[in-house]
Amino acid sequence: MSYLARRLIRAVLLLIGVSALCFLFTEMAPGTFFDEMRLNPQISPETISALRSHYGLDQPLLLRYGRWVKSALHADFGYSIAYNVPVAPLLWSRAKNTLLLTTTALLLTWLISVPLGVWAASRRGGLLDKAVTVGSSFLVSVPELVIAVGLLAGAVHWRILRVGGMISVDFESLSTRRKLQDILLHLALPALILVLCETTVIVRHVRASVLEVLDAPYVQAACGFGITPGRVLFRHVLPVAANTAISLLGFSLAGLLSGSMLVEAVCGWPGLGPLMLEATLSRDLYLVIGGIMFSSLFMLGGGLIADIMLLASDPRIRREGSDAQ
Amino acid sequence: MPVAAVSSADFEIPSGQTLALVGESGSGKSTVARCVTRLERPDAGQILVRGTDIAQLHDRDLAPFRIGMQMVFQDAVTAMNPRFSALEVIEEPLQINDRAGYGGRNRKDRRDLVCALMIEVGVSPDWMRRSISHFSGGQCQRLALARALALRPQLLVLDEALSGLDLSTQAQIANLLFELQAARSLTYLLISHDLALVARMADMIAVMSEGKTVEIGPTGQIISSPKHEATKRLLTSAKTAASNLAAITGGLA
Repeated sequence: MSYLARRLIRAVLLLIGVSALCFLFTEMAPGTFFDEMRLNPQISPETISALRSHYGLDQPLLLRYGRWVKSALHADFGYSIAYNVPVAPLLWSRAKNTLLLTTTALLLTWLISVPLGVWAASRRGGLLDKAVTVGSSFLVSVPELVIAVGLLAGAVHWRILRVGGMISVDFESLSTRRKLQDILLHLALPALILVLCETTVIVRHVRASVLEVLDAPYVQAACGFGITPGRVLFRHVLPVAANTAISLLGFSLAGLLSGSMLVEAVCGWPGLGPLMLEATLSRDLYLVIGGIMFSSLFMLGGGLIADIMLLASDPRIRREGSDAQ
Repeated sequence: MPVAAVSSADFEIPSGQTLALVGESGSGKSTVARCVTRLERPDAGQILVRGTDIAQLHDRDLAPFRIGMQMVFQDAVTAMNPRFSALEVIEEPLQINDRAGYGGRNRKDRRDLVCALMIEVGVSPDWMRRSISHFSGGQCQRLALARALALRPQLLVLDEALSGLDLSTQAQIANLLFELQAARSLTYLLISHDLALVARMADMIAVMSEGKTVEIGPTGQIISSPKHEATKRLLTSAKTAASNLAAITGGLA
């Protein structure tokens, strides 16, 4: 338990650090949201300074940070200047779409890559193993953007999947079943791109960790008393492969909110990615900071979940943890 | 290009005795050990166990012979799954060969067997729930012996099982091996590059060089009147090491 407490304290400290750096860097970055207004002769400098003081931007940095932290503790992350609404609900409405996309992609990725990695490793040098190795090297070396654009072009050309956005124009008039189908058809393409990009990496890691166990002296020793391949797999290989998989899952969870930005932008998926890109370009201060905090929270949460799962699955960590008390 | 690590190895181990296979590193000792225990299948030749040639047997027919000969590895720590407890390590061969009629049928039987084995090799059975990673090198080698003995084998192949341990632990394990041999009338195939150690333990010595057994005979004869160059080289280096050690201890005194 003390291990988890330590983790939590570290997470809180990290969040404070991230938020402070966010404030510092957005302050240091050139330009503000009102720069474009200043160029507009129809808006008087008085209006702009009134707006600035309305959003509290004329206050010193430290004071603003202090106020922000205080309200952030009540789940209020400030106002978006561009949308003129509170940041938190705005972020959440877009984050839901992102999560729908990334969770689907994550589940599919794991369902494909763990069995594929184990299978390839247990038939080392076989046809499937070679195909996995060559295929993943190829896909790893092709940039995500090229894969995305390529699949997008294919989808448009053959008119298989819906391209662009999350729902069709006539979405509201559809029946519930049709609505679901519509979303799935839109979801398929960005999800496929994400799955392709992620699987290549994870399959390699799973394969490598399984091979390491198969070569381990203790598996050799077990051969000496006639262990069956099935028992090697379930008793020795899978627990270790699970460790690697869970550690990697932590990274994947952490990337749930931030990892799909490019794909969202390319496919026009109304997620967090396009919103953040827009907010950064227009210097929508609190929206940017709120978005970063959202991603950091997910990152920390993902890491924490992975650690808890590791703690539950690996007796060594558990014992070391209890010894430390 | 495949290279033959061992081209000719001829020896016979009388039941209940210790044959030491010595040679420089790379001379093919371990390959012979892996072939004898059939972790590897030799390309040619015979391995006779009580009159049956097991050299080319397939896994299913091999199983009863596997049980009769167990191997103990040089690095005991890596030869056991670090995620297992001592109990899990030692009972694994029992679980695997349950159907063959060895070991305990149920959990409690197996636990009792493991308990007895741990006492026999000199590790307190109170520690059977401890993770392997918490035992010292010498204790791990004892546990590895317990695991090897679990199936009541007739032959133990000790592949450098005493190397990599400090001298006093080495001596303790060597004594343990003597006791076990007497109590269970075991046959040992002892693989080592250390002639000084081998001279103490073996009844017979076979010397390997470049993938061939070049000399074989009773221990006394090999030590006192070596015939082959490789044997002489090994003896000289053993003597140099011993005199170095004497010089060091002399300096300390």
